[in-house]
Amino acid sequence: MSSVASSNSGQKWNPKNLEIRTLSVEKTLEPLVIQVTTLVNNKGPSNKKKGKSKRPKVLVENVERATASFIERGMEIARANPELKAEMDEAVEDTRKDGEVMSRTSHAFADDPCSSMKRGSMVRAARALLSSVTRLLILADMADVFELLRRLKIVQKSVARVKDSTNPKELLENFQAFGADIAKLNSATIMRQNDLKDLRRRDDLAAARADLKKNSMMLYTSSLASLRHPEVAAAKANRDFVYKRVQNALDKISTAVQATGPSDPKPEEGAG
Amino acid sequence: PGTQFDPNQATSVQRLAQPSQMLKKAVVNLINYQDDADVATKAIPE
Repeated sequence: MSSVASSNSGQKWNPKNLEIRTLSVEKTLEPLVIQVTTLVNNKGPSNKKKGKSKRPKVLVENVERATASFIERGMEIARANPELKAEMDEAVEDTRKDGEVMSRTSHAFADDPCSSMKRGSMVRAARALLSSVTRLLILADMADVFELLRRLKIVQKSVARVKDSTNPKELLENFQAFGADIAKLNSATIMRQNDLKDLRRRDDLAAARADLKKNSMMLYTSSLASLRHPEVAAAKANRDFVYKRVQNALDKISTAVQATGPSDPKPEEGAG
Repeated sequence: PGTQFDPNQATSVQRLAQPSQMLKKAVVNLINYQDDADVATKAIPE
């Protein structure tokens, strides 16, 4: 349910929306789409080498095993992501049901491979199975974004500890912890940035990462100045300003990774 | 050691990629079996 996912995590997504946002999901799905299209379109004999196939029952068993392996991995991901568990369980169950139909129709086809009716039933089952696989992959992609947002929340807490440090020693310790948390977040965001299909959102994420990097270092120096010169109001104002910039960068990362639908053109993209 | 793949670091999509590929290969093999069936249909007279 979309409301469950939204309320638990502050996510702006609707899990029912089957939008493919990343290259890795697209790349994983593409061969499957081609394969089912081939099944639908390939009415006559193909140019592929003949007589290389294994016995039909073995081929059906392979499909069953592959479906079972996909389902098992889907269940593992569902267990690891409580925010999305309901949606993932539903998608896993759909995949299981579609896999059963695929198995049944494949067996019927294997028993009578010259029957176009049985072949047609198998094709329909394969398309349904593809649809379920697509949904599970998109939910897995959402799970990856949830993980990224979890890391983001950790960074938000550690940056607040940096700001609230009461002496230089504590500041140094908190800043080192913040640095470690930032490194973990950065590895996730850079992977996401390279994977996003939408080039504007890639730019947004790159810009936010750059803002975060630049302002993180300034946060240490401005916090240190503020601690050493508590009597100077400008030092505290400066630290608060940098802290706000760091928070803004984190907000931009959050927005960029959760954005859905086509992005709007930027002013600098206009004719000129 | 830094270049080794750590399965714990893999994203959820990466973890599903391999079984997806297995499923793809399995169904492609079924398609090839249809090719054999086409040959059988042609070889056997009505």
